[in-house]
Amino acid sequence: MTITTRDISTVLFYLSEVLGVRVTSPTGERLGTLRDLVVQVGTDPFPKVKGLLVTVGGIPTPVYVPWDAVATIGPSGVQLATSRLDLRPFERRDGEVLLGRDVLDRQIVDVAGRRVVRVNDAQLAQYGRVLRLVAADVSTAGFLARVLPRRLIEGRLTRKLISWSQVEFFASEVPQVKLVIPHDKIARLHPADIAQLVEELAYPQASEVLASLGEPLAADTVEELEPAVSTAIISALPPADAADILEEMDPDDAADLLGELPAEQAEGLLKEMAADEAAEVQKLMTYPEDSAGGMMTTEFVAMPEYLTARQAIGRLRQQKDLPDQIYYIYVVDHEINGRLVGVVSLRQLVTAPPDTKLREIMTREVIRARPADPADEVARTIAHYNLLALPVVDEDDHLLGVVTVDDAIDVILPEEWQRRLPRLFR
Amino acid sequence: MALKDVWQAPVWQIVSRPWLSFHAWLRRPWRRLPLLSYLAILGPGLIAANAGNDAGGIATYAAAGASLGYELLWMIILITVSLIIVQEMCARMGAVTGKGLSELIREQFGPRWTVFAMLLLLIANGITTMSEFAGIAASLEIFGVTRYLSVPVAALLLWWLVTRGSYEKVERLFLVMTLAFFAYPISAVLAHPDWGAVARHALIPSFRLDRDYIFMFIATVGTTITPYMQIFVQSSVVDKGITVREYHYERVDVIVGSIFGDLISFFIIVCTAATLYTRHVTIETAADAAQALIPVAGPYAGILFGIGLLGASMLAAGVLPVATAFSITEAFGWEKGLSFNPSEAPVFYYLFTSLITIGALITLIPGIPLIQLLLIVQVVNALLLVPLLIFIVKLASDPEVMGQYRNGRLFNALAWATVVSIGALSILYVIVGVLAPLLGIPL
Repeated sequence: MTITTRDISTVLFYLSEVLGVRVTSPTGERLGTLRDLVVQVGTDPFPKVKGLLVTVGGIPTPVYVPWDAVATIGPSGVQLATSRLDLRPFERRDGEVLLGRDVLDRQIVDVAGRRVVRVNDAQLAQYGRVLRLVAADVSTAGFLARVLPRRLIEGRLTRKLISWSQVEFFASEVPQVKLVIPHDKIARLHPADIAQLVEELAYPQASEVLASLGEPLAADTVEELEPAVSTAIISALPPADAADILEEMDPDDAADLLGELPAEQAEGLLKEMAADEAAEVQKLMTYPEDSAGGMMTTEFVAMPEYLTARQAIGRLRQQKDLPDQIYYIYVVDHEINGRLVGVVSLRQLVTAPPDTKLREIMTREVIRARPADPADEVARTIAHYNLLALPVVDEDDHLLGVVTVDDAIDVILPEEWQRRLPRLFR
Repeated sequence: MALKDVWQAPVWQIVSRPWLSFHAWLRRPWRRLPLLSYLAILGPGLIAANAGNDAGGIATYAAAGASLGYELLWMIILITVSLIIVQEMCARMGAVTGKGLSELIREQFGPRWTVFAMLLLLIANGITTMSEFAGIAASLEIFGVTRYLSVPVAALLLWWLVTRGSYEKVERLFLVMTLAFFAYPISAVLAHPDWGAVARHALIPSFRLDRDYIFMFIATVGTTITPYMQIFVQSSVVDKGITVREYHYERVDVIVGSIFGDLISFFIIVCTAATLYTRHVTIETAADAAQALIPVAGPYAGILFGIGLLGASMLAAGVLPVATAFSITEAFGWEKGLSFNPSEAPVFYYLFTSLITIGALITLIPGIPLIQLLLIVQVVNALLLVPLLIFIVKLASDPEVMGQYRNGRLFNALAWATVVSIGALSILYVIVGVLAPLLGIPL
């Protein structure tokens, strides 16, 4: 079923059906063999075919045939509109992707299905003069179609296609050319889902995704990743980008991550980070990881005891960079360098009469931890008292940070997580 | 999870999971640098190279020493260089691409070559799994346990442990058991070998066109550079999140690991040559092989050998089927891994279960000679290794895959030299060992 360019209906065929077909001149003489299709990747959801790669004679390096020179294309062969070929060997140009070389057999993200899949075949659609890549075939049928003789499988297999507009393909799979692919489809997913996808990818592709997300989302995603994955990604990213992501992360998570990296690399990243963020992270890194100090974050809310509930709520409204979660407002005796004297839950604060002072509504018996307390003890304390966060203080009761319940869960739960599978073959 | 656990782990745990302590050390030198830094160079390379000393490895080196004396020592030294070259390429590919070997084969060579490569891998790893069950049977026979009991129990136990995800916990125990093989160097010294002869055979190559000699030679190649070790080292580099930036540490690990692994092999040969070859004992059963440890363990030699062999066999039998199932499903893009349940990842579980079942069943065939079986498996592994090595060298020298980290010219020449020598040896073996007897040509 050869397709003429005058045909206006859409004609579909698979990449595997055309790779290796004969390329003939307008008069039907054999010129060579079709080796690959070149597409331009950009904003178009269904990339257009720009040209063909054809081998001529016995020469293994293919030559480039622009799409304009193609009269018909289909599983029965390619006919050119000209018999004159530019015989210079093909060289990749920026933004060009070879369908057979760079897309077939590679991993892509099926965004709707939220999973990483391998491209077994690709579907092309010709409408009028334009040939486009429209879908990826991820079915075993698509794989078999490329392994077994066509006669054997003709009509017996049901293929499963994913629209190319629902797919994320990776520029880092394309060697030697500059290629920027926006991953805005992935960016619409929840950070936990992105993290799950990223963990299935090889780290060069994973860092490509992270670099495209924008720092706040990238930071949320990195916080969800397993240590082996997050360290690989951070060390693969350009240091400036990595530092931007680290700045956006919770300081305790950033400290944990940097702690996993070789010393000189961690120091390099700290230097790239904004000074105040770096100082905070560096301070956290001095505590052993499995202690209260290592678990705590320095992002918390503390207010002096003489504020009224109204004033306290006002401050919350005005404060920039509030922590992600505010479970408690810690009450201190002085504005500057105050000691921890009590705690007010957010619920207590908003339900209290506006003019009550914090010292009148606060709970005075604050359960607290010291930075050197072992992690499992901290976790048990949090579980025992049903806390959402536990303050960490120094010997003079100055607040150093808080351990939040999610970090405590990590200490209690890893045994369960380990059950998932042997580390080696994930 | 693992890294922070190890950091607080008791010493036995660090000894048993050394690759973790390596990376823990590598990643937070400012915390506890002085502690255990001598153990620090242990990583995936060391584990992979020492996986070469599994049931098949022990049997092969012991048989080589017992039947040929010191004659093969020179090739152990030569093959260490080859092992380093091959392992380094795989580790480097893992660090540069973040992908496993089967994935890279799929991406670069397409579906037909993938089917071919995965078939090779399935056969190689299938028979190696079987050889591990042969090792389990042989080791427990020393303790008087019949293989008709030990093999089914071990197979069920391993299947259960791995699918439940608890294998990692017992893995340490198996690793500690393999420390028994450290007795070989000691036993070798206590057996008072002819050190002059050892040095002579280690440094001066010799070769005989003799069927038994070539059989032992190629079995030794096959067990030292096993196909699955290459897959393993690359996967674990990927899994540990080692990138090109940390790769220079990993290279040290690969080199140290290969040398260390082969040093043990070297001493197994010296030890068995000094104890068994001199007394013309041929190895028919594990109990024969255990005699080589008499100089160090006396009447307990059998127990020591049995423990070591059991640990090594269980260790590999636990990792191999799941690793094989993983590699193959990964290449074809099917759901994989134990985080899925059997209905979600049917092919993965099917492969994993059949590898264990078939491997165990074959060793139960009545009257099958276990030690002979172990040796033949190594020879087949060597024959299957050549095509796999061609994939490895082509990938590691491909600029589209490796960019600036592709093989250098000299390195590539050495790599191809390794492939060609093993290839030539395989052809020679097929001619001398298979075709000549078939055609009735005396040699």
